[in-house]
Amino acid sequence: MTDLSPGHAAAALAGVDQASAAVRQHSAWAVRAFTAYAIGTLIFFPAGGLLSAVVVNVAWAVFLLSLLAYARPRRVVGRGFRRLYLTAAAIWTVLWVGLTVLGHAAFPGNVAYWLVAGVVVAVPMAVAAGRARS
Amino acid sequence: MTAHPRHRLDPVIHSPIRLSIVACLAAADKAEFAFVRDTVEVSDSVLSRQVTLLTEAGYVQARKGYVGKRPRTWLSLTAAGRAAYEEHLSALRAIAGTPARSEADV
Repeated sequence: MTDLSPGHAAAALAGVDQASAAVRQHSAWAVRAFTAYAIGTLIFFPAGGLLSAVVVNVAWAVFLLSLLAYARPRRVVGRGFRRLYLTAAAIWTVLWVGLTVLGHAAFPGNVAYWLVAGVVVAVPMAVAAGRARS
Repeated sequence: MTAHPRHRLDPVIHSPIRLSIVACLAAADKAEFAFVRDTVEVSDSVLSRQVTLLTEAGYVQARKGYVGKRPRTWLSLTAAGRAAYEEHLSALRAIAGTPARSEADV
């Protein structure tokens, strides 16, 4: 095995830190994507529940496709992103479906319910954005 | 008697370029070939040669795909590669005399 001086080892570790920092910097798109997803939820969940208009569904679809178009060409996917996304998306889906069914059954047209429920549904993506940042 | 930490250095990862490649991939689920090339600052052919060595050692996995019509090669670290990298980092820290850190700190 090659001998390595403490100075060379420290230099190697500095190089490791530099490479890791570059990856973290280029993985920041995930924070922006999760944040946009959370904000989109805040807008489109109440809009869909209260208006039930085709235009809202179309706008939501366009928003999701735009998000996909933003995320897909990224050159690096940060460590743990896949697991974070799958977990957040699973919880988000359960909340979206559950609170939509509850809202239409028990609170139709109740603005306060749909606004508060929108915040609840947005929480998983907001938490994911925070975790992706750290 | 405790063995000197240099005995725990991984001979495959020990090369400066391969250490940079592995460090880059350790911080990612996956990274595009061109991104690693730009980060490590080597040519396509040099990176290709080093990735082949790391792949043969079972440390790196290369997968080809497309984004739109453009072909892309994605690189990722295998579980064996991650374990070898952690052990190598631990040895480097011991030699440098710095305290151990978790991967999240790197």
